[in-house]
Amino acid sequence: MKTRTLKILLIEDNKAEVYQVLDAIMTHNEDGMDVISSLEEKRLNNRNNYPDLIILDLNLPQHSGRQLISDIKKHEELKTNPIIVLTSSDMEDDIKTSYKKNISSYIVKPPENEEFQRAIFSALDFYSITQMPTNNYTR
Amino acid sequence: MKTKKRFDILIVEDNPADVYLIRECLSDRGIIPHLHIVNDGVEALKFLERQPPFDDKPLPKLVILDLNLPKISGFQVLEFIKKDNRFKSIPVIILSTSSSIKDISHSYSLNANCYVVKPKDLEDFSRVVGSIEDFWLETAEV
Repeated sequence: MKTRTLKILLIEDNKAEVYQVLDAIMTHNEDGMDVISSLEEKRLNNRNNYPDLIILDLNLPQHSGRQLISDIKKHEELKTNPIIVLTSSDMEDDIKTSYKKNISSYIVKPPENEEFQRAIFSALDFYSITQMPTNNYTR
Repeated sequence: MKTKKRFDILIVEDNPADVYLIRECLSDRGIIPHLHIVNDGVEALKFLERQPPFDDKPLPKLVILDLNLPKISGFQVLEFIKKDNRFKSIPVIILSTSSSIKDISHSYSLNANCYVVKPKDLEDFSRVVGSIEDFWLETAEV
């Protein structure tokens, strides 16, 4: 079965967290990952950089991840892209509210790295067999 | 890793062969899925609203939804779910034979959580169901 590698946009401003996700994604052999810490980044203006999938942490020190979900849903080019919330919060309220804001899925970050990698692999395995809303599904 | 607990899935599918295949491809490791099958969109809405004969049924944790349904279309079911505050947080996976750009875009515009094209090959179908199970039952929070 033909599956696609994914172009991933990670919205995260903690370096250690970025490396952890990057490590898992590269081990899974994806198309690459772009990292931004806010939607103001100029890179987002370049159509070639538009991702398949967005991974977002709710607990961003500089910005509210919760507000970011709403902002992405208003962003003309990103609003239908699947958003995976990857966060330490396991609060029912955060989970329900995120889904009500039309994220695609919610993952609570496992504390152990092995479990963390397994969770990322599971997500990537699943999303690589889905169809994306952008033209990238023809890749 | 999640502990074993009940996980109710609503499958909205009118093709009995596909229903059979989904059941067969789900494993019995980890979380046990409880499958609730309805064959058309009207039954799907009745199930969610807990109208007879579904008054004793639980709210599903996940919906797997075909688009080509009798009575009302999968799009109408999706729209109903995602516009109702009681149900909009339930993830909906579109599982359809259609690979048309129009159907995919329309599904996402109606806030489908994801869109999966039903593979024609049995092995691929099994892999897809396994991936849905592994991610939605064992990894994601719902």
